[in-house]
Amino acid sequence: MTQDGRALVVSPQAYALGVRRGMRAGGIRALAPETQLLERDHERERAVQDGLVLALLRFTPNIALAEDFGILMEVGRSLMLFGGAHRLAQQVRACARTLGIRVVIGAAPTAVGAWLLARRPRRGFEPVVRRCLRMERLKRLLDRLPCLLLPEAKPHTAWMDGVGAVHLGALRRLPRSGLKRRTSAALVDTLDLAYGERIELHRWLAIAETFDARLELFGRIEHADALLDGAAKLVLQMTGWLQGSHKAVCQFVLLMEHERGRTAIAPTPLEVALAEPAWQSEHLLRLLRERLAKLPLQAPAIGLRLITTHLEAMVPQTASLFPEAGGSSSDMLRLMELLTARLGHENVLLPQPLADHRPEVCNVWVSAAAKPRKIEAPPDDLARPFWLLAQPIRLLLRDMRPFYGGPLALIRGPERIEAGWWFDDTAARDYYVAQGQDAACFWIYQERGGAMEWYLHGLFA
Amino acid sequence: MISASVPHAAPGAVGIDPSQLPHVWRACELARAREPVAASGHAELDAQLPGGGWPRGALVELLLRQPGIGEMQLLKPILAQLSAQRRVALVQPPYVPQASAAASWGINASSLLWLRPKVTADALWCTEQLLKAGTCGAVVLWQQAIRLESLRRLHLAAQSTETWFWLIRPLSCATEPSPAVLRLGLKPAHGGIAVDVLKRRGPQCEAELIIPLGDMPDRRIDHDNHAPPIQPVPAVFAAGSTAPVLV
Repeated sequence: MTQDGRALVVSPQAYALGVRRGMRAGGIRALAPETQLLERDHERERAVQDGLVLALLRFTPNIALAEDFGILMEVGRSLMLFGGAHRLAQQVRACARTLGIRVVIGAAPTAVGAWLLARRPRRGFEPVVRRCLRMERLKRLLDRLPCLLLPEAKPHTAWMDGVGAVHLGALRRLPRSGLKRRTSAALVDTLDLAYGERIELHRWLAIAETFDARLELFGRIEHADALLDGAAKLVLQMTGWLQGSHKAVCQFVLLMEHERGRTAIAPTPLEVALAEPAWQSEHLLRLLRERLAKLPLQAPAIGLRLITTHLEAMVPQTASLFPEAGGSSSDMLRLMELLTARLGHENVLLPQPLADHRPEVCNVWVSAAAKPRKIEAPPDDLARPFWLLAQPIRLLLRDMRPFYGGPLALIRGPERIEAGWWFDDTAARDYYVAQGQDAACFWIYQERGGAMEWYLHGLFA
Repeated sequence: MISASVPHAAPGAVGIDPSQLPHVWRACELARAREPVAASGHAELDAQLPGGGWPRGALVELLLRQPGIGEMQLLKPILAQLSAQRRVALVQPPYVPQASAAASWGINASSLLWLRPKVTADALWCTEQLLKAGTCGAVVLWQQAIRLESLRRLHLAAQSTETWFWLIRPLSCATEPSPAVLRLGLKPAHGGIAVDVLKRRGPQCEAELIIPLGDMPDRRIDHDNHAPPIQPVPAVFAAGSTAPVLV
């Protein structure tokens, strides 16, 4: 990647061919003609930074932007919550890595100090201290940093070289008024801020009211499940935003944008409605994974967009001291949602028996996603088989006996069921309990009227 | 010589019965269950199960000669107990479960969950999810053919939860290896069900158990004496074609 005609970032392949940082474009072309030169795009870097800011809102709502794509986060009051500075840095790094961003993290009691530590150059393979929590240690560390790290010091490079002020410590030892006169007031102010001698005031970023993020994909993606990686980034941003703004999402839409061909193709929407407001990534991701796996794409997708359509205030769970066996009811709801996402709502069923004598009418199962109604009690407490055949099987008659694998003996019955004439769906049957030769019991019936056929309708299990 | 070298033990210590010692297991005994067990509700069966009941957090296989021989009634007592608080998931059962039958057995019908995955992979996936989530009290999975890797996976998933898990398969799978801690072969029997303990932690169980099941309709019929079992209902059969013989 180049900026102002000079190489800024070099890929390992190009490095192997001899390309180094700071080389001019002409020199690179001479060394390695097949090298791709990409101009730095500040606009897109800004978009990536915005995405990261959204995801980082999960750690603190106080986020400000610093120079050179720096992000300042005020976390002093929540260090305990995240298990200390080291753990927090790990979590921030993992969060950025999911978004495909490499970050250098500095931590210090002052924001400018943290920014300077993060930008501290690395010398060889020596470990560089970038985190400190006490002011005295920060002062010692800052004293050894080169002056040129401060952007305000750039115009005065020649003067500082002249007086031999290479490190910040040397600069601070100079008389204050003279320093202010010879350099600039801004440099002195920044130094004071870094050393904690002036109170820092930040303009924290305002958190947007609604969430609407876009992501450009690296290529044309033809399979919906390959979109999961991109969707994971957007979900991470969304959950960060949700936690920062203390909201929970009930419904969101993932739009898959298609390449504009001869005619514009409307983006494919994937609507996800949640039974319970959520703000955690894992559950949303598991749901999306199952939904994306089943979604057909008409055209390759080139971009993703995630929009929240229905939000609610976040109600944090009250954790109980002793975990309940079987988890909470929201765990069950989440599990149901996950199962429904994969199997389809018509295949995750709860019983909803109706008060009717006809077994096929009585035994109603409804989708778990449907609103639960009151369960009607069965009309009588009759012996019913546990298994019911979805479609009754017509039985043969041999020697005047119904036959199913062997002759069946009727051991109980008949139980006459005659119902449904008011819906023009008359069932007039005599039910018997029949036993086969191996002692297995069946629930069979004989149609009354018509051909008087015998049918197998259930099994006693 | 030896007795001379052994110092005299205290008089009470001589008569220790090894079977009374904890942590001593003899090969002729049933294993003591490490995981919690729940009584099956059938005394004859409990006597033959290690720990005296269905083990929790383990793969238990029920191998059926055919579906509909009283397998659900065998599980009825424990399902009734578990369904009072937690859900009971039925994954890919061979027929339509009848909620009113379950309710008449004392199972809380509203806690039943019927999953109808279309393919085996989905069935295994949702069983694993159910086991991992641990929110269900019991999971019953029906499968025809299942690979050994999948069985191991299910067994592992079951071990980490507080869920009772049964896998119901055809009896023909009895010869295949399985990581299940308990395997029972089930065959129909008059007024109950015949249980063959194929695998358990402990000595081989030789005898076939006949577990009486209260709600199983039964009447012993000698099929060879040609007694026509149909009790003709006058409206149905024309009189005179066959002489009705009641049994």
